[in-house]
Amino acid sequence: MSYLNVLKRLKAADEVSAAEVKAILSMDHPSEGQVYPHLRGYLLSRFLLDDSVQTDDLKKLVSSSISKSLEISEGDLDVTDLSDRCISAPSVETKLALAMLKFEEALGIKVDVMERVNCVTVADYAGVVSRYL
Amino acid sequence: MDPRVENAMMTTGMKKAIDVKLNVQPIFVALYHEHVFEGPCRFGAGDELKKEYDLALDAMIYDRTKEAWATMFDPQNVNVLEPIIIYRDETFLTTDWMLEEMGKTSKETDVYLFATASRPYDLIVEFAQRIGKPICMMQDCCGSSIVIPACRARGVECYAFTDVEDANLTFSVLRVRKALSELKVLAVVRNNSNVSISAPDSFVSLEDVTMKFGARFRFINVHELMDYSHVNNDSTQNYTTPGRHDGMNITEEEMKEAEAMADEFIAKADECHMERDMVVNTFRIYRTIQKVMNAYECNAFTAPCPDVCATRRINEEKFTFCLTHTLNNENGIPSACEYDVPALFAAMLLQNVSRCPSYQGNTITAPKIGGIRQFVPRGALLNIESVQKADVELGDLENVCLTFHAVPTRFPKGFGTEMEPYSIRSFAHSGFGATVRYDFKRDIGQTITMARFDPTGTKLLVAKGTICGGVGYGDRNCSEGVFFQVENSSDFFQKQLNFGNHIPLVYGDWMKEMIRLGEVLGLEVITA
Amino acid sequence: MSIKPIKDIKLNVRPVSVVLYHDYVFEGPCRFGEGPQLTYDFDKTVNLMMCKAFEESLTDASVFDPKKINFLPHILIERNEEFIVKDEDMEKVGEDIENVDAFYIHVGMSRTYDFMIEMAERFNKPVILGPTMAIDTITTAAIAATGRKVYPVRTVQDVARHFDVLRVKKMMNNLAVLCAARLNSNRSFPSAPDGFLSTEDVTKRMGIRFRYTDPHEILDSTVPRPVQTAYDEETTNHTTPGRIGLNPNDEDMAVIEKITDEFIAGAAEVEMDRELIMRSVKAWYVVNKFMDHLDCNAFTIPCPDVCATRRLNKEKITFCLTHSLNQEIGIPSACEYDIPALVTQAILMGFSGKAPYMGNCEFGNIPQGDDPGAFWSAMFVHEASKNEDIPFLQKQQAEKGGDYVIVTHAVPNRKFKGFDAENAPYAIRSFARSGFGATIRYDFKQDIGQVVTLMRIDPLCRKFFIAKGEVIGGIGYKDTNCSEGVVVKIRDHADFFRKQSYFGNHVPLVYGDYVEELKALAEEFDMEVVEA
Repeated sequence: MSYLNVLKRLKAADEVSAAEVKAILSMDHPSEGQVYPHLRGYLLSRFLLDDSVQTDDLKKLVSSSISKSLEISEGDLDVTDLSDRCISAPSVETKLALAMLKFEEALGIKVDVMERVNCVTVADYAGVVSRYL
Repeated sequence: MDPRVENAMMTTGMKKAIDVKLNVQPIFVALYHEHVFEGPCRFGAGDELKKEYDLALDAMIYDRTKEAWATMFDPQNVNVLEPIIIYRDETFLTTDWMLEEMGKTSKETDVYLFATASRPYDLIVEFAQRIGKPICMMQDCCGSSIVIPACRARGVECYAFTDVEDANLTFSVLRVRKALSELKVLAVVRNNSNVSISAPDSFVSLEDVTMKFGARFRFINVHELMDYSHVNNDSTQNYTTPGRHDGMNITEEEMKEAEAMADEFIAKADECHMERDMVVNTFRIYRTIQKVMNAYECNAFTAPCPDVCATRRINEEKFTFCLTHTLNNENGIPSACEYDVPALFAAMLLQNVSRCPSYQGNTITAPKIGGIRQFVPRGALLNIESVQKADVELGDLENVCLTFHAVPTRFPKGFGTEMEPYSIRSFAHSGFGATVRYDFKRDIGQTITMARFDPTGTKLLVAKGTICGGVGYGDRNCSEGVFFQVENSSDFFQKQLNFGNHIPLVYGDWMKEMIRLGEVLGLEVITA
Repeated sequence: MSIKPIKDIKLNVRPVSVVLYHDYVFEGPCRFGEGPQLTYDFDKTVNLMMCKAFEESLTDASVFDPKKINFLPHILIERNEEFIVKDEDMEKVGEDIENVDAFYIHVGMSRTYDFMIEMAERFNKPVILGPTMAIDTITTAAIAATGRKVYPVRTVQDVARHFDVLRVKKMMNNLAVLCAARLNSNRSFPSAPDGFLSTEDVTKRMGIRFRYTDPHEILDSTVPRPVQTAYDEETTNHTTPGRIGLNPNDEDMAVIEKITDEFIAGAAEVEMDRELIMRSVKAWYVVNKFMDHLDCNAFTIPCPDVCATRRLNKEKITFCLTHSLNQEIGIPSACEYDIPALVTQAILMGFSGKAPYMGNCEFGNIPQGDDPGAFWSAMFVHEASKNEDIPFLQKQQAEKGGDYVIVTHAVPNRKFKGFDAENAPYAIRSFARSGFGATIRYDFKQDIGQVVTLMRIDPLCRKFFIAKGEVIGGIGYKDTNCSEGVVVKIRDHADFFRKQSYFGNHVPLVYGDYVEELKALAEEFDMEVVEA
């Protein structure tokens, strides 16, 4: 993919994720079920994934995203995780945490760290977020 | 019985360490000049430059040297072999014939003693390298200080003596080293053949000891030994070796010998506080052990009494090994309580250096602190009244130590000396286990020398003391002991901590000899 | 009985996560990012996500076998950019330290090296750093420099391998060998002078303990004594008169009879009298009572030394079955007082989870043709061995080529495929031609193609001899005596023999390939590897 195409896709993803946040904020005390589709949409757009991705597992979504962008298999990613070596954090957790924090910031909420950490699926996270809205 | 074993028992006397002699092969290397000439290493005038003159001079020096060799060394220690003379001329040839002639007695030779006329240094160095045995020389000008460093630099063990006394001292310790390399210990095993329950301060590895000193170990199972102590002409009936006809049970005849020995032992004692049958019983195991030692061709003995004690067999058989140790040591057979092999080895060295039977026991310092003589066991091991009496007798004496075990000797002044007075009391309070009781107070003022190997077999403790009291003469059990004074008991104790409990001793001051012996054995010698 | 077989030993591992959260939002030479990435919340989220993943990985049985590894509760150490090593945190890590065999450290985000180094130094336990993206070598070099054990890893499989080595090392530390010495307790001169020169050296290097007993006292204790009275010679043993012995009582005898019957019932063929089989089972049972009494979990006895007393002949016992049955339950048990072989068995058991086999290891190539040579002819007396086994092996050899060794002793067992596996088929025949001394007969032909690892330790306890091979057949299944054996194809017999010459006769083996594990263990004990 060319550099210009990448920039185009990133811009489009920013627009989609902003729209998903806006949709959530338009609801008054949304339920988990109401948050879920927008959260999933937000994450897919942040991770540059399309609807063909089936998994609801948060880390797997990130793995798919990284492996797709690096053009390597997800299995290889476990071995060659290429995050910022100097701070010792693997890229999956880094990318997921950043996405979550940015999402919460956009919604104007601050989720308890342990609640965030314990989320395994998008649905888990939707449930947590809905309680803060 | 297997006729070979029987034959061995009949014909093989024990090769006692004290009977071992150092075979010294003297070699005189003479040089003569074939031609008449003068130069930087040849001088003289007239006939002095003739071959005939050289040969006559060589013969004179040789005769004088040979005469000296025959008389200068202690015949108890040294066996001087027929001297060998080698002639060489100024072509300085080293021929095979010369080397073969010099080495013709190598099988029996322990040490080569060289004397020279003129300069045969290279020949001696080459011979020493080839033969692999120690060489030595009396100090001369200037061969000894040329040859000895040359040999040492080539890894050859060699010595040079300043005088006859020095030579005799060296030969005496080399003799003991030889005897140690020929020591064969009959080791009675119940469980662990390295160390017993009571003497874990023994050598860590007997294999190391064999590799280092040459002394060997022959093992016998304690239960089989116990079975052999039963008079039985048909050994197939032995419980632990059923059907074997070559058991070493003592015969009726040997039992009669044991009884005779017991009777003599009782008759010669000042007092006997034991029943005859219990004394006879002790000689029963002594006689059995002699028989087994003969069959195994051993000349030293040890048994792990506490390990065996725990089986209750000693209680059933009604004997202990104490008297065996006493009698063995009196006969020049090093014999150690409690499977304490470093004590056995130290006893062997002391016995051979001093030619006195040794005594071994628990050794402790007994300083007087706060008006009380400390660390002396009262009650369990030593009779409380006896200790109180000893306390009074010792007064405020400082730097006092105590060695106690019921294995004193009746010949503390030397093998073959007149027997000292003794009494007989049992080890067990119930009356079994004959022990010699010796009143060490008779020998107050006597100098003693002590020694012990450390558990790694790399160090030798050598210490000196003076007898200042005794305890336990009138008691039973392990309570027999000697008090002695050392120069500094705290120093003695700190050094003892690297060696172990039992510290054998002999009468006399043998520090110089023991230190030299430690050195030729390659040990680090610690003195106290 | 409360014998603790080494096979049941687990490595107690304390997982520790050391993480850092920056209290303040700032950038600098060791802190970078933008937006939320510089927040405390980000640090904590990422770190705790990693800790959670680490904790979950511990339960992956395909990597960490719960039968081998016991993970203690995971400890989380949190700090900030002040880099303070707090006593309180050290106390958490060091709690109940005597039950910790190793630390498994998850290195969190950012710089926590100093804490791990101090932890290793303080507690002196092996440290394995988890396979993170940390710059491991900073920590490993620093820890190694303190003289502490540290293991660099790249994958969780590496971690598991190190745990395995540490576990086998722990097994050695927990091995207490019951040595029934008749004479020399280091080695048996009549049969295995290639044993260790000094068992003390083995204790020093590998931590293995040795407890000694007397074979006469064991043999005396094989006599059933329903009632023993203290101080009574009549009701007690000859060698320990008046002492209550470990002899089987009525209850024990009922158990012995039951075991005997089950042993007979399970066999494909039995060519011995029940009474004589029971004597062997009884010997095994009594040996186990001794091990139980002396807190031992391994056994050896110098059969040739004891043989010479004629007591085995009288009692109609050999210890072959004792060794087989012991090995099946994870108790190393060596013929002929061969302690290097015993220690080797223990090591092979540890890595494989399978019962080992030991025997005389010799040149195994059989001459082709009708005459198999004097050695092969003399070794086997049964017609089946001569007429079936030898031609079969000749055929195998002709087809497969290569070099062979034969390992022979009558101590095979039924658990070569694993302690938890079903009993393999077996027969029962005697050791003695006259009919006593039960032995398991195992037809090694059923395992043709199995890879085996062979090993032995040298007499100075300084080297491992390791080889790998493939089973091509067996011999002596239908025979009596010590003639049972397995024939193994090896790489190069001349090389094998030359190297084995410095190690000794009995070469234990186990099914499977454990060469790399053995090499790692040798390194752990600072021992040299000689591979054939």
